[in-house]
Amino acid sequence: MKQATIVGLPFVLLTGLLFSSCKKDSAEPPAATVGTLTIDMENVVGSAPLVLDRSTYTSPAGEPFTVSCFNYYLSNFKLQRADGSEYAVPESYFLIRERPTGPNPDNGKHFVLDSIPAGNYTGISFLIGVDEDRNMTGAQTGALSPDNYMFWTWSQGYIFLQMEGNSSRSGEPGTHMLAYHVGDFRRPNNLRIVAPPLPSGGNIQVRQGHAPTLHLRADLLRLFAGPSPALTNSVLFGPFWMAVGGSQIVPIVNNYSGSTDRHVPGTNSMFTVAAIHND
Amino acid sequence: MRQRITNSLIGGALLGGLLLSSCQKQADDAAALTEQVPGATQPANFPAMAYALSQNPPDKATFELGRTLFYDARLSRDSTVSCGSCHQQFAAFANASHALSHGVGNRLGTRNSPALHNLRWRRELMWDGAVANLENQPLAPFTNPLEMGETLSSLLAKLNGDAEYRRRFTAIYGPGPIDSYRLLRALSQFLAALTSSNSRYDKAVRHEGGTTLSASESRGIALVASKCASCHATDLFTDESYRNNGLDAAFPRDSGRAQISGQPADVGRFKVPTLRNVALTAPYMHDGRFQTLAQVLAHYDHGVIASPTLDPALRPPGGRLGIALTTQEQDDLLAFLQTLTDQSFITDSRLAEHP
Repeated sequence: MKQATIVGLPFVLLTGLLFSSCKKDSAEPPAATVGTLTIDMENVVGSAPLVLDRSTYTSPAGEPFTVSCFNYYLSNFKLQRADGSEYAVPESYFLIRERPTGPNPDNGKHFVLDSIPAGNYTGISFLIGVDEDRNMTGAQTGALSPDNYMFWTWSQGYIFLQMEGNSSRSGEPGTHMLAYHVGDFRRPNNLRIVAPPLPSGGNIQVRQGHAPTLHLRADLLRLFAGPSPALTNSVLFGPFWMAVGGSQIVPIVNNYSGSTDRHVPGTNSMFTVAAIHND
Repeated sequence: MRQRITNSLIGGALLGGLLLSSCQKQADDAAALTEQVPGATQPANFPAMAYALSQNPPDKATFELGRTLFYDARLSRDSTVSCGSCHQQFAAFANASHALSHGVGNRLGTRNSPALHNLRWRRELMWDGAVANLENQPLAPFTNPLEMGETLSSLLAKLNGDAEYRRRFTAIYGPGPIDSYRLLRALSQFLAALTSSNSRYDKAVRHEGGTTLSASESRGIALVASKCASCHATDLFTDESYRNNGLDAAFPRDSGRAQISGQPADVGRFKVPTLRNVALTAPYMHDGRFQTLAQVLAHYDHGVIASPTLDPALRPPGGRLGIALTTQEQDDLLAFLQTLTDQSFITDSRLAEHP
């Protein structure tokens, strides 16, 4: 971005001057009043760690399966204070991949939210996927680069979550494959906000000179069953071994987010806060 | 540039003088740029740009790199198809005489290659609006197995393996490998430069060079305004909506916009194409079913077929389907449509494969 600006300097100089003076007005607080929050991700399947290919798990419906691929985007992180106010972490887009492919070898399981105003935070929320606007913005870099193969190039938009594997119960007779690719931000809108509760009485203490870490756990089993009988769409691998976006995938989205609405945060989702380390 | 502005700040004692001088400089700079990079100014009779100049400021080296990429068949899986294969300058960057696009391995696509021009003004691209930003548009043909059939990693490996590409990308974007961001940013500079705004019609409405239109052509303008402009709106001659224009009773093979929106109401709806350069872009419609503009007008006059999503503009209350056009009216419309041909655009050597 910076490089492109330099290239076009002669033409946009005046505009650029205006923009840069705008930026100064909304400058970050002085360094002493901000800190970081590190997120450590752990993927699990129920009570077991996620091991690709080699481990066989049992779905809530009692069907065996293995996992060969598990990727997802987390974005638009927000931290809530006890007084009800919140801080939205700008440009927070992260891609977690159990086994990275493409030019970027980072599995994304360890990332840092920085320049957070110092204070005590009593809640955290984020989006599973990439917000509508960024699906329609131009060429992207880093976690959002299409080089990561998490971007549909035909009906364009990001893949929010991707799980593939195998099951002897799969309705696909040849390979016994399972493939669930979540996307779509128009109709249906398969984005969901989740707000996993902090451990009882816990808070996140962001301070200059401290480095708090939040240990976030993602349970893959939650793709196949929701948080309650009322919110569960039971997945059977025979009839439902593959879905790529659209309305077909909505039952899985509602299961893992614990929410049926783009704008209602799921508090009982596939994500749980396992621990907070306020070092 | 910075020095010149500083000088004018110091020299201009009055605020009014200041504004005037910076405006004048902007105009001068824009004029200088236009000579280097085509399509980098706002035509007076066009609406505001959707892909603003500031989003990817036009630059000669980047534009030329984008042009090289546009015409490079190595971007396809088997090095047989470039962007320019299906988007030919002499056809206003449509594919002359092909109803459906031809991709790698001589595979036939499912739709008629659309003409590429005035893409800066497009909010959504493709016949069904599958793409919402010009910069990401090339990803679709790159990876479509019926078009260029390539993977992004293989494509980037080819570019990074080419010393000349590495040199040109590095000169613009600095050290580091060629990634999809740099590829798309460079290519979109060329795509954004495909501005067609100097047809006889344009010159007449802008009162340039004493250009006037004939009586028949002028009657054609009035007819477009009264009978066509609810869809072919503004001087871009499209409102960018998706509409079912009555080609078929059902759309089992290609449901158009419904493929993107998932909405039954969008079945059979396709993007309203511009009328600019339309005399050059035969065949017509998303599937290239009509060979001539006369056939297109005949369709609207008496060929419209009813279906649940047929556009209301083509079902006049109490009347028969379509847009009634007398023979004289069809002749006048045909005469007018010819005035939308932009010879300077299709002969601009800066846009050619071999400038």
